[in-house]
Amino acid sequence: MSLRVIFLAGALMSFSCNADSVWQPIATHATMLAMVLFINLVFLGSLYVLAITKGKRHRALLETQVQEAQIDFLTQVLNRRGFERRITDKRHLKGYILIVDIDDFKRINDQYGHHSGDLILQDVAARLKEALREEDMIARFGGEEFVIYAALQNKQSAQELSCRLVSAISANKYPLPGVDEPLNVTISVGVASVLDSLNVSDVTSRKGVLSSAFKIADSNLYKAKRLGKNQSVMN
Amino acid sequence: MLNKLKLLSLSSYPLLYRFMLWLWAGFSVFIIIVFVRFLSLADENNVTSINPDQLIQILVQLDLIDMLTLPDFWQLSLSGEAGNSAMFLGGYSAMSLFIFSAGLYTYHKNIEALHRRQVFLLLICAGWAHLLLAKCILLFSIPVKLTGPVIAVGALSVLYFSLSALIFDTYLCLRRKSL
Repeated sequence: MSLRVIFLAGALMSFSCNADSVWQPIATHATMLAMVLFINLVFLGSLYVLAITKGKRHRALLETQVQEAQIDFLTQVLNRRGFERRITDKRHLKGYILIVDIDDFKRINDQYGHHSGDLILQDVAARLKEALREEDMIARFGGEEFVIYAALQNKQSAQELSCRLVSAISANKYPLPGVDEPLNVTISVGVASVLDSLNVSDVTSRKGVLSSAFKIADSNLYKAKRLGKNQSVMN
Repeated sequence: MLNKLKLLSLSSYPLLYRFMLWLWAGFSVFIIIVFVRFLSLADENNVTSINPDQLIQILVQLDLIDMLTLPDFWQLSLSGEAGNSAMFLGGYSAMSLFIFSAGLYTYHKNIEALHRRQVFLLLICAGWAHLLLAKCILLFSIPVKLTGPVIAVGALSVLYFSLSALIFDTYLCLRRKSL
């Protein structure tokens, strides 16, 4: 008995240095090493797996937040940031920019309240989206102004699209809660082409091209307003 | 200036939680010291409260509950006379502690900042996991001559890891106060 206890105690001291056979020290060291490695592998492995899982969840959350940051909360279309981000990511810029403005929106807000104004905005955004193709981009730039980018090949298609948008908005009246008669809402559209002939590869050139297109579309929009609203203008 | 990681590692945690962790670590250190001293006592054939065969059985099976009920376990081991300091040296336990600490440090620096209490808890759990693994190994009928080293790694790892946890927490506590 005492021999076994002595060995037990001795092992604590010297890790079986008193081995009396060839295999014993090897087995002893192998067992102890396996124990050490196993525990460390389990603990550190679980820690790293946990970190990977957490990281994935965090990334997904971040991605959702980034997406949400590019969407206009009220109308559920892109906001200005989202629009600019997407358009700069585009490979080919050739197409048309359409700036859409709701006519007399201030009057709607003043007369029926901001809640009604919000409802009109939502409805207009939905109708515009419906009238556009899947690949076209629409964004609310602020207030009652929407911007559309459509990758159209020629001026005629752009004109057709802008006319389609104008009639889609004015075709049906807009019912409002607490208001007996539905409202007539119209839009004015300014159109400008975005030229791709410059081969706009760098960001600065792209921004320049887009900025000039925006300026033209904006001045066309004001022309449309001056000409009596509920129409589109394209030079 | 402190960066966010350092602030996180220096930040305190609830007193009750800390007290529980310290109690656990302190108990671990105490019980292993007592256990190793008890082994040295058995080595000198000074255990009288149990017959030798039963003692062997308890030791080989690492039956901690039965061991704790032995009067000799407490009476003699607390005297401070028994025990051999060489019995507290364990190369593999030290190696395990080193690997674990390196892994934790790498994790803390490169993946996610660990809180003080997390490090404390991980160290204690890892220490006791060694003993649990030793117990599991002993459940299989391994050669008797292997039982000593297996128990040694298990028991000394609890001691080393718990001591490290205490030292680590005390160091951070003192450093925080000195800031």
